[in-house]
Amino acid sequence: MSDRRFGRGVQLLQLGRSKDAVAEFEAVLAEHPSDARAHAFRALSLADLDELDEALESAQRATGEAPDWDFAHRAYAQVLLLKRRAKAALAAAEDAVSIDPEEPENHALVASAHLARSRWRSAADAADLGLALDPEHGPLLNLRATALRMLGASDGAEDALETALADDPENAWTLQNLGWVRLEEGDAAEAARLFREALRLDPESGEAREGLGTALKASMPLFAPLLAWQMLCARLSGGKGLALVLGFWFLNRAVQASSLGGTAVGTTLLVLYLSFAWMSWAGNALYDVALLARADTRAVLERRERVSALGVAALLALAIVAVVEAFALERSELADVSMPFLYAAGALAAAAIPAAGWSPLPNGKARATGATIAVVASGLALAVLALAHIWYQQVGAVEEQLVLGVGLVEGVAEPVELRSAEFGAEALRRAEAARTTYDRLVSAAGLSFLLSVGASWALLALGFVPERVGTRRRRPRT
Amino acid sequence: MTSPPDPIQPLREALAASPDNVPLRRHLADTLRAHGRFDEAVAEYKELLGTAPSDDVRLCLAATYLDAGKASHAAVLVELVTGRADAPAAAWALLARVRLAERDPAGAASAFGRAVDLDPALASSPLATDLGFHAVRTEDSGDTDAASPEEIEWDDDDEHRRARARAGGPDEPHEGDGRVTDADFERPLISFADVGGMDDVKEEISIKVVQPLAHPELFAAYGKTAGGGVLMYGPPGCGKTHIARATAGEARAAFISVGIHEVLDMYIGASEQNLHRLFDEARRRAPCVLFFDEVDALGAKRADAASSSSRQIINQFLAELDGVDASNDGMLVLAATNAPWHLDAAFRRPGRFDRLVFVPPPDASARAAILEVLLADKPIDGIELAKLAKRTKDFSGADLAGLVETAVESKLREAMKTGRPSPLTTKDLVAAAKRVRPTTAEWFGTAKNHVQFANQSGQYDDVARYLGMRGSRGGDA
Repeated sequence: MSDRRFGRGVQLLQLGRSKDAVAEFEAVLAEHPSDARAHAFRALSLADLDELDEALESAQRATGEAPDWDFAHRAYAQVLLLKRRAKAALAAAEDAVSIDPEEPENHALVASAHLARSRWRSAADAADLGLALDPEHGPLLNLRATALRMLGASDGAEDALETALADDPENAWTLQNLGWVRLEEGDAAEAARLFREALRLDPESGEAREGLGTALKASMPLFAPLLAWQMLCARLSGGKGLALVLGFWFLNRAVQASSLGGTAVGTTLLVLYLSFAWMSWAGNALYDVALLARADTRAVLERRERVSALGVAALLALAIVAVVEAFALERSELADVSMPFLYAAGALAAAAIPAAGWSPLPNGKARATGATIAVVASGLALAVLALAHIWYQQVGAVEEQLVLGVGLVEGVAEPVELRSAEFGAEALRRAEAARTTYDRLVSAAGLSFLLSVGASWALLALGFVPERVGTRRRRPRT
Repeated sequence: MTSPPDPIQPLREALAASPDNVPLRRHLADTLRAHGRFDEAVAEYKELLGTAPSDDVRLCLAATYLDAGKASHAAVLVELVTGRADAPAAAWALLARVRLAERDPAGAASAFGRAVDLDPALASSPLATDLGFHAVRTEDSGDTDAASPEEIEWDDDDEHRRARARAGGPDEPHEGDGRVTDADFERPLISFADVGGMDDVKEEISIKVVQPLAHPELFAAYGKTAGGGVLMYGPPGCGKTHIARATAGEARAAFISVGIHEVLDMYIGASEQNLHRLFDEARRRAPCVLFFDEVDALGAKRADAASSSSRQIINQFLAELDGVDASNDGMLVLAATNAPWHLDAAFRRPGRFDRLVFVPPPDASARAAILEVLLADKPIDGIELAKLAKRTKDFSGADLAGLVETAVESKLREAMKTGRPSPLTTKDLVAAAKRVRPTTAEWFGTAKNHVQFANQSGQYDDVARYLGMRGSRGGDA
C-alpha cells in the first residue's frame, strides 16, 4: 500500500502537482516514519512549493536515515541551493559524489553549487567530470555552458549548447542559455528570438522572460555599456564586485580631492561618475519604462518590475524638478538658500536605487526592505520639498525679513543689537523663526539624503551587485 | 377423469364466430400467455399485429418471446418501440429485462435508467432489485420535496466480477487494477438545465457530444460519426466535472468517471491493459460518456513523461482514442484539466480532444445562484445575493463554498460568545469575502504566461478574452 502511495507521489511530483505529492509522501511517512525515500521526495516537493525550511528539515532527515544513499544528499544539496546556502550545498553535493561518483546528477549538483558561488572554473570542471560519464547529459551541458560563458569562453559554451540542442531541440533551458551567449556576442535580435522560443516552450520561465527583456533593451541607445558593466559584475564573485564599486568610489574621491576638484573637468567627472553609478543601479528599471511604453513589449515585464520602473521614473522626474528649482534659486537673490532643494534632489535620486532594487534583488526579503526604504526616504524628501516651498513663500512676503533672514542664515548679518534698531523687535523675532525653520529643513533634507544613500550602500552589502545577469539556475527537478 | 375446464376453448370458439374482434383476440393471446402456452400466444399476437398493429401489442409479443426464452426475438421488437421518441416507460423496462436475459447488464442498466426517468415509481419495482439498482438522493439540492433529483447508481459489484471473469480470467494482474475497474459508473439524472450559466460551454458540448448521439442519422448524412472528445480546461473548482456529468445526463448515456488516482495507479502498474479494459467497458455500455478528470496526469507532454512506462500508457491512450482496435461509435470522451499546457500536443489532433473548451469561473448571475443553493439550509436574514455576487468576482464555486463556511464559522464563534445565535446577514458574507482569496487568481497568473508566450495557435484565445488581453499573437513581446 505504501509502495503504491509512494509511486503515486513520485508521479504527482513529476507532473508538477507538488502539493498532492506532499500528501502522498506524508501518508507513507505516517506508516513508516523513517522511510528515507519518502523524506527525500517530500523535501523536493516542499522545495517546489517554496516551503524551504520544512524541505530542509525533511532532506536532512533523509540523509540521516540513509547516509549511504546519494539521492538523499542530492535532495539536501538542492534544498540548500534554493536556500542560497551555496557552501553547505557544495558540501552535500560532494557527499553525494563520494557515495556514487558514477552518477552524473551528483556532478551536476556540484557544478550548480560552484556556479552559485561564482566559481566558474570549478563549475566547469565538475560539469566535465559528469559529462565524462554521460556526454549528452542536458543539465550538465547547460551548466558547463554557463560556466564557460562566465569564463569568457563563448565558443566552448556554444559547443556545449549545440550538443544539448541536437539531443533535445525543444529544451527551454538550453535555448535560453544560448540566448545569453548571443546577447554577449552582441546579437540582440537572435538572442530575442531564442528567448521567445524558450518562453513558448516554457511560458513560466522567469529567466527566459528576463532574458527577453534584456535582449529588447539591448537594442536601445546607450544600453550596451550598461549591459557590459552588468555582465562584468555578474562574472565577478560577490567580493570582487563590491571591490570594483568601492574602487570607483575612491577614485572619484581622489579626483575631487586633487587639484582637479572644483574645476570644470572635476565637476564633469563627478557628474559622469554619479550618472554612471546611478545608472548601474537603477538604469535597468529606467529602460523598463521604455518597454512599458510599448504595447507589444509590455508583457515581458512582471508586475513588480512595472511598479519598479514607474517608481524609478517618478523619483528621477521629481529629482530633476528639485534640481531645476535649486538652479532657479541660485539665479535669484536667494542664491544661498537652495540647500534643501539640492539635498532633496539627491535623496530622491538615491531613493530610486532601493526602488529599482525591488526588481533585481534576488532575495525576497531584501527586495521588500529596499522598497520600504525607498518609500520612506522619498516620502521624507518630498515633505522637505513641500515645506521648503511654503517657507520661501512666507519669508518672501516681507522683503526686509527676507534679507534679514538670509543674512541670519548665512551668518553674515551684523550683530542683532545693531540690526534690531533698524528693523524692529518684531521683525527680528520673525527672522529668527525663519532661520529655525530653515535649519530644520536642511536637517530633514540631509537626513532623507543620508537615508537614501545609506540604504543603497546597505543593499550593496546585502549582495546587491547590480544584476547577476543570466546566471540563475532553473529550479532543480527530479 | 374429466380434465379441468379449459379457459381457452370458449375464447377460441367465440373468436371463430367473430374473427375480426380485436379486443377478443387480444384477450385470448393474454390468456394463452398467462397459461404459459407461449407458442400459441405468439401466433395470436402476430395475427393481431397483422390486423391492428400497435406498440402495445408489440411489447406484449416481445414479453412473450422473452418468457419463451427467445431474447433476441424480443430484442428486435422492443428496440423497434424504444427507437421512437415517445417510447413508454414500460418499453424501456422491458428492454432492461431483455438485456438482462442477453447477459448484458450494462445495457440493462442503461435501459432501466431510461425507464426510471420516465416513471420514477419503477425505481422501487422488483425489477430494480433484480437489476441491483438503488436510488440515492443527491446532496447538492437543498429542497427535500419528492421532485428533487434522484440519482440512480449502478450497484456494480456483481457486474464487475462477471466482467472481470469474462475479460481476463485468472491471469489478470490484480495488483494495481482495482481502482480502474471500480471506476465510478453511474447514470446521471442531471442535465444541462441543472447547470447554471456556462451557456457557451454547454452549446459547444451539445454540438460535439449530445447532438451526434441524439441524431446519428443526420450526422451520418454528412459523413460524421459521433466520437472524438472535448477537453474542458479552466481554474479548479469551476464545475468541469459537474458539466461532464450533466452531459451524460443530457445525452441519456452512461457515465464513467476516471480520476487522477486510477490513472496514477496505472502508471505504477504500467498497465496499458487497465486502460484498454476501461475503454472496452465504455464501448460495451454505449451510449456512454467516458470522463477523464485531470487528464494532464495521463497525457502529460511526452517530453515530461520521464519513464518509458508512462510513454507506453500515453500511446495506449491515443490508440484507444483513435479507436484503432475497436469502434468508438456511441462512446464519447470528455476530459477536464487545470493545466492544458501540460497536455501532449498529440492529444489535440482531430478525432481526439480536438475541441478545447474554456470553463471560466462563474459569472455574477451564476455566483448568485450558487450562493443561493449554498445558503439554502442556513439561517439567513435578507441576503442581497446580487450585491454578494458583485463582491465575489473570480470566485470559483469551491471558493464560494469556502466563503459561506468562513462566514458561518465566525457567526458560530459570535454565537458562542453571546450565547444568542443570530442569522447570517449580507454584512457577514461581505466581511468573509474580504478574508477569502479566490483560488482562481493563481491559476490565471499561470494562464496569463501561457496566453502571452505560448498562444501562437490561438488555443487560449478564450482565456485571453476573459482576461481582457489580446488573443493569439499576444506573445509578440
